[in-house]
Amino acid sequence: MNWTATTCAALALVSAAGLAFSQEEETPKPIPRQALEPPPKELPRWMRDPRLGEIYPRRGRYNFDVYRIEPLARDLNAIAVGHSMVYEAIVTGGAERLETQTYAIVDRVLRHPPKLMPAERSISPTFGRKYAFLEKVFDWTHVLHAQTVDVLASPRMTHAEKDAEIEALWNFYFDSVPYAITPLPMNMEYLDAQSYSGAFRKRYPKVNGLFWGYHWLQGAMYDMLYGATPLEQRLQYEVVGEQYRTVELYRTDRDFMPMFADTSPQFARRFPKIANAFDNLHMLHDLVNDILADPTLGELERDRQIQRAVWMILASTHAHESPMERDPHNALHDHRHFEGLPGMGMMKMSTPELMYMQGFGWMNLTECAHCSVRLPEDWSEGVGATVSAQGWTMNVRCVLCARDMAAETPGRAILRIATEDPTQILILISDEEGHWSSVRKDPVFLEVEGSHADCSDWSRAFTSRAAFDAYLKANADNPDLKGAKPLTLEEWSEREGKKPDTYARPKGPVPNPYRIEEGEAR
Amino acid sequence: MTRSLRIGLAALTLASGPLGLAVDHDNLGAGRPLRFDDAESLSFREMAVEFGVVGEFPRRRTFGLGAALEFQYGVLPDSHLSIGVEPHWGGHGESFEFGAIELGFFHSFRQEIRNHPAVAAKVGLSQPTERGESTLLHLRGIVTKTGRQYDRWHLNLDAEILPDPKPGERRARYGAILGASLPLGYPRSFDTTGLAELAFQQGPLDGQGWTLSAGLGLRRQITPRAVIDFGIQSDLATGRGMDSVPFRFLAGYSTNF
Repeated sequence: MNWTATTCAALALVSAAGLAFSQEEETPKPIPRQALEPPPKELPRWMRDPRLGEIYPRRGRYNFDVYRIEPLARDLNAIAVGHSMVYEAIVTGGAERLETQTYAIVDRVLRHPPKLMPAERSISPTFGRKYAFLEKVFDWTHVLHAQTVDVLASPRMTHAEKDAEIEALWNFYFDSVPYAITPLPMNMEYLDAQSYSGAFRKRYPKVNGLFWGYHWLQGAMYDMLYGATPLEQRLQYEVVGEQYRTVELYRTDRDFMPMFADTSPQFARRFPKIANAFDNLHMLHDLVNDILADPTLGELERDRQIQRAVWMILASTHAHESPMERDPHNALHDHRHFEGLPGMGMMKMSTPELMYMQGFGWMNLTECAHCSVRLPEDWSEGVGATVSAQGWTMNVRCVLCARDMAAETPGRAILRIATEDPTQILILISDEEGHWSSVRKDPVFLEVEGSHADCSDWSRAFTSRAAFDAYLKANADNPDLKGAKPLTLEEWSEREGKKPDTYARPKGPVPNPYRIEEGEAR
Repeated sequence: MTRSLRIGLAALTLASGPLGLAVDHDNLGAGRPLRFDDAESLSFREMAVEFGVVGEFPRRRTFGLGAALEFQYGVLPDSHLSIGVEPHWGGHGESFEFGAIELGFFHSFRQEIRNHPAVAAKVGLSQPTERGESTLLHLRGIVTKTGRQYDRWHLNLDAEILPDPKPGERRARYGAILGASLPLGYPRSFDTTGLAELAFQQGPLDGQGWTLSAGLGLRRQITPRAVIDFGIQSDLATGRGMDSVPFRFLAGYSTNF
């Protein structure tokens, strides 16, 4: 790209961001709080079926390989206990002790996680008997969660085999039972605008924090595992696990539940159906929690609303609907997703381009979080990276953006970087002082800083010197790369780029859609 | 082998039938380690193998040792098939005997929902491998219901039918077991279940009375797909003409795949 084109592109980006909400008709309005609706008269038959109908998970040599990363396995085991204990307490008259006694018991389990995964039904038998249909949905989707993690943790499968098996697991999940969760993106703002929405987080902020902490880990672990060697997985979990155990579990200031594509954007791009299903599962948890916590609902009404909540997120409810389809009169059937990110439904007051992200403000998800240049569609061209630090994960376009964005953040960070080999992701982990390390032998970096409009041309990572040389040879006509020298990890780490010339901060319709006063927003 | 001995060894090993349940310390199957079943079947397409040993110290016989090996397969939703063998040594001064081949079918009609108990039934066929022995048919009805919260109670009603009884043998005999199970260690550990049972069983010969026996057991998860179990049983009271077994121990291992 020549200078003129670069400048035009940058100006276009800046003006596009500035104009994002300049036209009245484009300004999103908050979805008003919904009136209480009864469940449909014709609920799926399986919801009344007294049989358990349990199906054995898909067989594979990878099953239980999560135990190769034992701290992760144990944390996931504790999550199962944490979910179950809270549900059991609520339905056995212990709601008043949720924030004190139950929280303390669950917290102890989280700090001393069990070696093996307990059966949730054994820990929450009363809840399981009362909402047997809900347990089926939870259990079956938790099996998908567990098996996809097992595949990713398997040391015996290639990257391609893992991709293929995860697809097969999805098909097995979706085709085997009538109670699979929809893989379509759902409008999260609508689902969180039910009459009872917010009741749980308001009454039980600490326990809700735990639930959202669980869901943070259940999302974040996917990119941590994806494309990484067993050693890289274990090293990353030292960072991710510490963040989970010390910060994420105890946060009570979240605006909204953690979204899968926020925490694992790479996996969500590759497997959008799974990302959506897990978000919808986690939203089902929120819906159920809010129903159980709403003091205005009687026992019978709670049961009816839980039936409706399950029905809302079932695949069968959205049969024959497609991603990006939208019923303008019914937000339950709004399946728009963010541009370039089919694995995430619409969030509060968002557009397909802009979303509010806590701690960052409004973000354009199609753009680099550091330089605002458009992100690649995928990483197959060796372009793209993510930065994970302090619990967030951001998409960036080049390795300079990744490094510099991490440097602006205190604490440890993880960079996941596309290389010239689509099957090899370069993973860099920093210590508290910002020193980067990698288990890969001798990665090579290119960095000839210029305008960020084409930063992915001059800032790249390679798996070897030979790959670096091949790239320069293939781009011999690019004058910016003339005389470029290969950089070692150490040399590259010591560099610091200038402030990106292309950065533009998007503007949203309101400063923070989650902090609008009650009467104003709904 | 006489019917009474076969029945006694069945009680030693896989008790009232050849069937066991999913490999989870809280899923209970006959023989692992006590006599009773809960009302859950294996998952659809699940496979499991169970192995157990049992030793008994009868009052008027020599020490006996038995083993049980069983394969189970979830052939349909809420249903599984099983096949097993129960070789044994001693007991009546005999040497090794291969015992019978046990075939079984278990079906769960409903899980426990709200106040309605879980209900299941199983049918077993015990086919002797030795000449002169007759086929036994086992029928069992199972009801499982939760007590206060974590304690579960399991009522098993048994009928054992001998289609071709020898002189002096009962064509049908009956039994009942009340079992209880309770996960142990909550809320700090989640891998062990304690079991107890009280069993009544009619003697196999005409004119024999009932035996009342009790048992205690533990099931412990040792890996994600393996459980070990231990149990002890004792005949508390025996009816007219019945042998008494004051002490019996059982140990086993179950795995699924």
